Amino acid sequence: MLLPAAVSAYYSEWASMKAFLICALPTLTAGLFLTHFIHVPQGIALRMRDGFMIVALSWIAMSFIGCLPFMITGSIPDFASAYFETASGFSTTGATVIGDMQTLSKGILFWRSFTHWIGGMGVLVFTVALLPRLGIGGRQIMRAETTGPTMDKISFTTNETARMLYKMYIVMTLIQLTLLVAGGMSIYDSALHTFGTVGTGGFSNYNASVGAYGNFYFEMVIAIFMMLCGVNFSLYSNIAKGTPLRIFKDFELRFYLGIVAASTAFITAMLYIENFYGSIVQAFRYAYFQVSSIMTTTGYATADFDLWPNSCKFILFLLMITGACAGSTAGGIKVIRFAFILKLVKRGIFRRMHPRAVTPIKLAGNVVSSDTVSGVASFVSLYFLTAALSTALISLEGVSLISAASSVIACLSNVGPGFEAVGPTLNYGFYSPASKMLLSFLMIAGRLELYTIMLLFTPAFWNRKR
Amino acid sequence: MMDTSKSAMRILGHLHLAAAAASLIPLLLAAAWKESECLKAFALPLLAFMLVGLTLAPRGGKTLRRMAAKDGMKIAAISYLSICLIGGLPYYLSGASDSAISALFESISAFTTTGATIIKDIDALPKSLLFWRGFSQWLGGVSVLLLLAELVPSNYSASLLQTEIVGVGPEGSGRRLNRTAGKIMMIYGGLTLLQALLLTAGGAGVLDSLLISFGSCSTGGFNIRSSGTASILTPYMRVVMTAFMLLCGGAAVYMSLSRREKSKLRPGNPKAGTTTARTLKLGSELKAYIGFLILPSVLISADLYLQGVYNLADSFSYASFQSVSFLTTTGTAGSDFSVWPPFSAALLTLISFAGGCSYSPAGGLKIMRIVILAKLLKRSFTTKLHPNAVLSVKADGKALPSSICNAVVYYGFAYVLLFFAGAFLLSFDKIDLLSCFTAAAAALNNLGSGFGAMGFLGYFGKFSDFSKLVMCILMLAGRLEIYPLIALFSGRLGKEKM
Repeated sequence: MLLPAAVSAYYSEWASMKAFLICALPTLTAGLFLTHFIHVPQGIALRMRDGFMIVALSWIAMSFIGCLPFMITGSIPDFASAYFETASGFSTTGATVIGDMQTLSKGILFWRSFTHWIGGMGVLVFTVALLPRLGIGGRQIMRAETTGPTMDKISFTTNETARMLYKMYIVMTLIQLTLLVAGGMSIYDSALHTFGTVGTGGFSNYNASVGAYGNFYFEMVIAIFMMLCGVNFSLYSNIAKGTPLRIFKDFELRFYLGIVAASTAFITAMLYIENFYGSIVQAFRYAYFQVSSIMTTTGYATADFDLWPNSCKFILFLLMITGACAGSTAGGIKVIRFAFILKLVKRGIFRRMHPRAVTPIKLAGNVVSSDTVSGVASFVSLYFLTAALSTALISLEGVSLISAASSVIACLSNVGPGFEAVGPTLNYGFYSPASKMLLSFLMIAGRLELYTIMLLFTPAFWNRKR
Repeated sequence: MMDTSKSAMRILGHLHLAAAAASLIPLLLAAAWKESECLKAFALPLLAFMLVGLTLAPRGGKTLRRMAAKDGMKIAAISYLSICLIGGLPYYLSGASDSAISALFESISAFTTTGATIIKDIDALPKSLLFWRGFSQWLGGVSVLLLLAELVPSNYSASLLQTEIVGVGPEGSGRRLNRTAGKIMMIYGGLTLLQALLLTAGGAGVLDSLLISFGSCSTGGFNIRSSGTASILTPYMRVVMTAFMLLCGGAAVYMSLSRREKSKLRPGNPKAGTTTARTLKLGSELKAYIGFLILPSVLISADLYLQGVYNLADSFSYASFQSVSFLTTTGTAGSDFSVWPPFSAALLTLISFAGGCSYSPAGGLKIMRIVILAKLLKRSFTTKLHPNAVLSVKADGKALPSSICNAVVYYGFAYVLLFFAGAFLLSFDKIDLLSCFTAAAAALNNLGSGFGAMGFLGYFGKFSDFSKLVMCILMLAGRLEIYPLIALFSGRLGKEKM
């Protein structure tokens, strides 16, 4: 909170600065109060239920506090919109209700993008350090893996893992910032876009997103960094260890890069055949940027992909659902789970052909336990169920079904822009407050791997006797 | 190996002979109605059916042998394909369809009880062809049950029906399954006639009543007028249709449950043989089926009324008709639903994925699978809180073996994957994005209409030939529950040792 205040001061936006200070003070006191004055007896391990509760509540509360600056400065006066914007920021979604960025003060814009950066960092720690303990990490599947490093091999304690991830995250931020500034982007713009990229959020300070620059170099830097941030961050520890090539032995990473390459090739070909951008290089430029942006669930746009051929839109739609690697800042169901589902389908066919065969399920050469199987299967079913029901609810707004479905998927997977009414050139501002709150809920639920939030709504969670 | 191929020939032969007998009816009708241009169109497929049947049947063994699951599925797929191919000849020969692919599409749509059509001017069709079109839906609806339970050897059907049997009780032995199938056929035949009678009593023509009856009992739902079946429906007929779609989407479960109840009563028991509604327990599938009907009907009625599309009575009448029609994957429009608000559209499209009950001619995922998936999902929440708890999934008071749960999960994902793959292939056509999804759903769920380019009449003539082929595959996959189609492409018949 103090950082955006400083930025506001630098740009002599005193009203914004006051807003940040007003918010920072109570937050700071509340934080200090909670940490210092409430004594948690040491040695009492948190139970499963408490863990879920803390994570879910902290995310919801963060978004409450975070939306205050928007409301106090009057940038976004109504609560639902402000909450939507902040939830979108912290969950690194990048869906916005603001039609015209130019009307906002620089301090507010900075805060908006900065929430991505904080959110991204929070997610990293959450997925890599906390989720496995709560038993919902997609990465669990790879636990028995020997080829690539897993979190329990990198370090032994959660704190150490977290510190390592922070380091990677900050290093990534600094490199991108340097590259963008070196290319001639202003420091302010570079910072904002770096926050959006590294957190795979997608807020920009221009209405036309990254496309506003029309600069090939900027686009490529951002596209490549988006792709890099869709990779499991713990893989990067290999670089620190001096064995960078081992990264490519990771099964999920290979699958991920395969999907990026195949989708880019397909969309490039389609755009070229349909004669969209003239040369094949131009087609590749827009195709690669968009694939990288959508698959890592960032949501930056350099072109209005809502105008692209249906088959291209379809691929992008699928990429929204898939998302990038587990253990990254991206959302979606994650590549590893997707690979796993393919495996299950294959197995279903095999079981039907050979009903009496007894074979274990293997992924990348490792046997997967039946607990993991049912964990992944129920996660993906829950994802689709949530998406389907929410689509029905959002369609009450009277928008087209594709708009409703893509709004839901874009929020649940933390992408940002969708198709038709919520296409890359448009925004979520027209939705009613109820829908905005539902979508905010989806963003946070998607960010916290569904179960963390959804469990709060089950009777069993509150039943203390069990 | 010899046994397997002999059994295969026997099954295929008898099926084709049965089809030949069935195609004799429209031939006779064409002769009676003096539709000379159709005589040839029906004579040729009749000859083809007989040729195949007479060649194969004598070479088949006298009895059916046990065979591997894969071979059984392969036979099911081959027989379905072959009958669809020959059954499509009349459309092509009579010139009703513009191309061979369209004829194939129409035939597959009929036999898979989808009800999607490529014929724009239905009123101009010769009556005998119209009859064949409706009748092949009915044949398709019954033959699904036949193929799955009667003609294919018992041990095979037990494994193919692995998931279906859940609704009936996994203890079903071969002979019992055969009896069940016979019973189901009788029930469907009876229901079809009864509905036709009721419709005729309500003032519809005899042919119209029969055609509507074929469509709603098989959950196919071909429109029998260019302007839609709805244009000749009176409120009374609409109620009759709703009731029969409802029954046929769930009647089989009703019957099998009552049978099980009956078998529990010992012969000496005075109550034996008197199965009444009293002894019928509502199974979890039937309960869910009713829930899936009531909830969307009410929500859609409210949506239609509040958005001012119809008045209150009409809203309820149209909404319940459409919910039943979509849930049982019949797909017949009760009114022009393309103007309905998106919320209703979303709900209707969603329930078409649920489909009817297992052991009914409805398509979709089947309610029982949805019930099991929901139970698995519920369990996953509990295991998150209590990671060490070992919980079984129960249905109707019985714990389901994990093999069945797994099979349901595998199938569910295969289904969703196929849906997305199909929708992707359709996206190369010149249609909007929504239509890609709804057309794929209409084909895969054997629904036959929907919200999108095909409109409420389920007219698919606008799609390209490539899209039509994609949808043919989707329709077959949905009907045969995916795996038999895959078995078709894997290895030789009988090669696999058990």
